[in-house]
Amino acid sequence: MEMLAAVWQFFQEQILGMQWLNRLIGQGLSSIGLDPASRWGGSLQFFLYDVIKIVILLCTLIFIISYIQSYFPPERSRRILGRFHGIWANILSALLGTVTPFCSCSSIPLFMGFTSAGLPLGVTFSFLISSPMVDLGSLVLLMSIFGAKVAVLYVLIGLVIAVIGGTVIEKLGMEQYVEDFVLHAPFQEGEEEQPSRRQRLLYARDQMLATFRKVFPFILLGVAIGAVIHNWLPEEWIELVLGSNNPFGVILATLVGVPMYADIFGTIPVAEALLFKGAQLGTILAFMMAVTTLSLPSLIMLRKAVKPKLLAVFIGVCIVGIVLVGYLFNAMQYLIL
Amino acid sequence: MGLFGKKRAEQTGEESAAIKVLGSGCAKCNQLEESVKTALTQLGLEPEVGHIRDFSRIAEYGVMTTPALVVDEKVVSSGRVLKPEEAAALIRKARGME
Repeated sequence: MEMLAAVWQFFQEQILGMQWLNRLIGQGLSSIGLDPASRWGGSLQFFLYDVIKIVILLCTLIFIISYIQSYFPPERSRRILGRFHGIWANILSALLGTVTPFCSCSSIPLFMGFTSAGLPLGVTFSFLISSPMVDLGSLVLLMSIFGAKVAVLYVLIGLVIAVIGGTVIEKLGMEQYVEDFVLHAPFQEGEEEQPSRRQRLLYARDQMLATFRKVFPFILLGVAIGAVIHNWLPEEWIELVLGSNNPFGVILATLVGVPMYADIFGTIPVAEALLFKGAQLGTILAFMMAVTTLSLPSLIMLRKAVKPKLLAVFIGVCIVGIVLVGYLFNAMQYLIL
Repeated sequence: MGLFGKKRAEQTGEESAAIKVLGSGCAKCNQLEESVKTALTQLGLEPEVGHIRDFSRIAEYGVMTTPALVVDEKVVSSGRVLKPEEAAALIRKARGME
């Protein structure tokens, strides 16, 4: 067991966390006369280390994930979901949401595709909540920074929010608040392609390059903000606003995060720096969930398919879920960190 | 109202195109349209590409991920921004030009 624990710790710190890279950059900076213990040296070290680490993780992860995703086109998820009922359909929908390739610009065709196949509204919403909130990428990324326990809990709780959120929307009988053109979308069995391994690999490579191009500016921005927090903001400020002294920290972090549009890869460095500076874990996770799950562009898109009342319920359910997660993690922080 | 009338007219004009991009007007959809135009030029065809943005019409093709490419009313690709060569290969295949 000890042996196993040691192997896991090595994997955690050196492979996922890339501590060696941090040391290497520190030594490199020292050798050109920049002291990593100084403010400027420390900021530069954080910036270089985080940008390189996140880019390596991003490229590896997106490649592997896209390859897995090529086995789960939405047509297939829809067919699988049609065979399940009740809460099982919601659970499965939340799970499939994590592996089905999804971008917010496809949310309406996907919504229509699900509805036209007779899937209940709640099942569709479980999918729409879990898809941006939880994915395989966030699991590994969180593992690299906060450890395996936090990562697994984040994913599990994200799935729970998606299942409960979908179920609540179902129970409230919100069908009448879906736009007519979605409700009456004609059902059309899409043809399922069977790509070869070569095609799947090409797809994974294209996804990796496209995601990298799209997300890289966010990473630079996120890491830059992280570096400022890491080395320049006084610890007392962060503790005051996001630490255990402020009972409203979670709510504040959630509300600030909701309208923001960023990828989890851009959010992570900010979260990492805040945690280092004494912010509470639950508060940080709430911020990350809020940023990735809800954003103005995706809400504007969804508004085209649902009426304001359902949109408000969707936003409300997500916010309440995220805030609860924040307080839960804050309460358990001493157990899991 | 005038605006709506114009949009409708555009939409019908595009319906008649044999090769169409289905998309919600996102950046990826416009990239696909460009690729397909390049592909058509390479194939020596008129670079005439319709672009359907109406979600109900997109659903009629059974497409759940945009952008999608339709050749002669048949969906040949969805959820991907094709490169011009890939688009050309799909068009050739759909038309039996090989």
